[in-house]
Amino acid sequence: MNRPEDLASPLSTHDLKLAYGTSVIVPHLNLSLKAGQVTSIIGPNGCGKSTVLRALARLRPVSGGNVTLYGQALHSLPSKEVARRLAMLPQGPVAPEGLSVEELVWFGRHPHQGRFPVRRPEDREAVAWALSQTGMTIFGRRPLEALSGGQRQRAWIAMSLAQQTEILLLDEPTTYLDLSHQLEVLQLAQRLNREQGKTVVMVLHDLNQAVRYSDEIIAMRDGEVYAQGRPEDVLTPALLTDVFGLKAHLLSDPDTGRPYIIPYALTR
Amino acid sequence: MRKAGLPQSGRVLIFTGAWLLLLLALLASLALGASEIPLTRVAQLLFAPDDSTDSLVVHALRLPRTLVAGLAGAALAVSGLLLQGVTRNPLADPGILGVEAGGACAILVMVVFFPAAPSVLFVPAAFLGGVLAAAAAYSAAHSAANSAGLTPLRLALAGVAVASLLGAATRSVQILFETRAQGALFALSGSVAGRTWEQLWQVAPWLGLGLVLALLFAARVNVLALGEDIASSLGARTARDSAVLTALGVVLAAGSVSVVGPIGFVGLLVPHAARALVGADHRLSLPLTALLGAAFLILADVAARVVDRPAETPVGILVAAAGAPFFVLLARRIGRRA
Repeated sequence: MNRPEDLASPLSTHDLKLAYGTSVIVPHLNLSLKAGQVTSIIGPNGCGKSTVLRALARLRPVSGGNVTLYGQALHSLPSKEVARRLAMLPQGPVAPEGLSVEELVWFGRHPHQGRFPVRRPEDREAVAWALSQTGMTIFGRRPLEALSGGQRQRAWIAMSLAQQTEILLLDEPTTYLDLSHQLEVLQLAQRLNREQGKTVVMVLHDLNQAVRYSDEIIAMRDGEVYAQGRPEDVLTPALLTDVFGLKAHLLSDPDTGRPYIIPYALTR
Repeated sequence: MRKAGLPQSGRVLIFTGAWLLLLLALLASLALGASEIPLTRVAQLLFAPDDSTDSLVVHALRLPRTLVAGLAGAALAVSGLLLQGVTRNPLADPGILGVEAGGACAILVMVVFFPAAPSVLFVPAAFLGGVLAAAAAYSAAHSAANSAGLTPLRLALAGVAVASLLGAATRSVQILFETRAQGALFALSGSVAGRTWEQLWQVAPWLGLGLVLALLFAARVNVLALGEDIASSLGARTARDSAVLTALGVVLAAGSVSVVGPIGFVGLLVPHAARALVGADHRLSLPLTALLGAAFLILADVAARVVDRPAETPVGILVAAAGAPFFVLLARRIGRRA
């Protein structure tokens, strides 16, 4: 089962099958993520991209095959150990009323603590670091419900950062945010990758943002990988037609030289 | 700018206040009732019983019923807090899994069909009724669950179904055996009148152990209250933890129902009051909920004794009368936030 390349891959899937009851979402997926990169999974609604991300974070049961974390079967690892190596921020989390930002971020230390938690100096450092990375230090005492959507999302990301994992999974982290807050979140993800060497995997809807902020793109259609590779190689007119049913102009981003997509018609 | 959390001094103040309230409730409960006994005399009799009627009233009547009310109030309130945290449903309470309906039905069945049974069997029967009702709700929700799992909504719906079925059964028995059911009417409204030391000792170990375990597990409730996805992401074993905490909530609720009958609202409103005072951290709100729950039910029982003196009023009715307006307030507050 262990292929040599899996040992170097933070997360890989092997004939992974994901189903809700009898309806199969992902029939057999073989995927290998690269370490130290920002990878974005793109695809139309219902293509199974969030389902795959949730399976990578062992948030949902698998119907067949398996997921490995650096070659080890994810489902056989102790759940706290997984949470020390892999942090996942699901879509639209809701905090209990009255919880403050700092209290929330402290939960990120849960996987590092024993049955009866004590606050060790390294825990305090991790929480302070996570707050400062996300620019949330000054909001530490505020309850989450008193924050704007962008601040709240940063607070949740701070909680995931406090887990101090090498892998960070974000499921549609920009949804419901205005454009500047979207960029804020994406730049934060990119900075964590560049400065901390974190492996970041995101599900994104905005293709231009995915192109700009990712080292690698995985395009999914009908539960299968249609293409995987560098943004400039993957985002082609053929892909936009086959995966999204779109006709588009592809311009060149003046900053990055990568494609910039302007869709103008539907093909179906 | 609103701030979450309280400084240390604020918490100390709140907990001191809660202990004082409980002490006040205890003293009032020993002093007030059909006959009034001055506080100094109560204090004197507590430590040095004599042959007087007052002494008998304090030791044989008021002390056991006060302790039963305190223990049951704490257990009901903590049960509500646990269930609200685990299901992330602010309107969850011990009734949501059918525990109260099951306990009430069992009480009635015992009174109507086994009137000659030794009195020592009544409490275990009611306890069993509550636990079985919750188990039925749980298994009904479980059998209907698909790959999405046992969601709080599914559990709540199954609980409502079981509760209404048991409610119908209870009413049928009341109608079919009207004369014999008369004796159970008071108990079915929730009451601590006439509770004995024997009944206290029947439930005290369960409730005491349940409360201690709940305190030890408070940190886990915090993690579960973030939702299943986040809790799993943080490495919590959510299915196991929520099953354990739900079971604990059921035992606490069934234990109190078995000795005081079905009393609503305590498990719903006391946790909200505690959270409003100390915030979302269950390591603080859980002990406060226990203190306030105990004080609340003792005070409600005192009111039940003096409101129509010398006759007794079922405390469950008073709690409902006081609880209903609070419930409306709560609904308005939740409505405004959403």
